[in-house]
Amino acid sequence: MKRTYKITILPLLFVLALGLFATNLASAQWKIQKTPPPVQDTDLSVSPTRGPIDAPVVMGVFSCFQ
Amino acid sequence: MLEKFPLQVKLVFKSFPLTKHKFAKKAAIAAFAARRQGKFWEYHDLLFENIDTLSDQKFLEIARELGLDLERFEKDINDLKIVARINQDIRLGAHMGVRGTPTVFINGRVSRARTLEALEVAVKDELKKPRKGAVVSGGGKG
Repeated sequence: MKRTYKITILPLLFVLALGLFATNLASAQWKIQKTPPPVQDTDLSVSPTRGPIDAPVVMGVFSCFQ
Repeated sequence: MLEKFPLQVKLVFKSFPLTKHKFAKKAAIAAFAARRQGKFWEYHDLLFENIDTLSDQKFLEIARELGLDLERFEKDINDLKIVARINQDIRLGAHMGVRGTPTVFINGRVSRARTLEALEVAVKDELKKPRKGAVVSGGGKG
C-alpha cells in the first residue's frame, strides 16, 4: 500500500516564525535582566546623590561653590 | 569618604550658596542646569577645580568642556524652576541651622568633624550602630 503525505508549507512557516519569536523574546528578557538601564540623574525634585542607594551612612552636605 | 567607604556611604548634595560670594548661586544654578543633561557631578567637580576663576564665561566653558548642549544649557540657567529648587535647599539648610559651608549631616545629625580624618571616625562610629529600617538624613527628597 502506498502512503502519501500531504505537507503544506504554511503551518511549517508558522512554526518557524513562532520559534524565532520565542528565541528573540527570551534573549531580550535576558538582556533586560542583565543590563540595567543607565541612570540619568536629572530629576530636580530629588537631591543629587553619589554612592550606593541603600548605604547605611548618608552624608548630607550643604555646599557652596565658592 | 566615598573612596574610603564605597559601599557604606552615600553623599547627598544640598545647595547652600553663601550670599557673600558673587558667583556661588550662579554656579549652583549652572550645576543644576548640567544635571538636566545628566552631568551634575562632572560639572560639580569642574566648578571646584575652577573655584578661583568662576565667571559667567567659565560656566559656559565648563558646559562646553563636558559636551553639553549649550543652547539647552543657556536656556536652563535662566529657568526659574532651578532657582526655586536651590532656594528650597537654602530654606531647608536655614531650618536645620546651617550657617556656613560645608555643613555635613551624618544620618540626619549635624557633624562637627572638620577634617577628613574626623569624618572618617564619625562614619566608622555610625557604622558601629545597629542599623534602623529607615535612614534619616539631611538629604533625600526635598
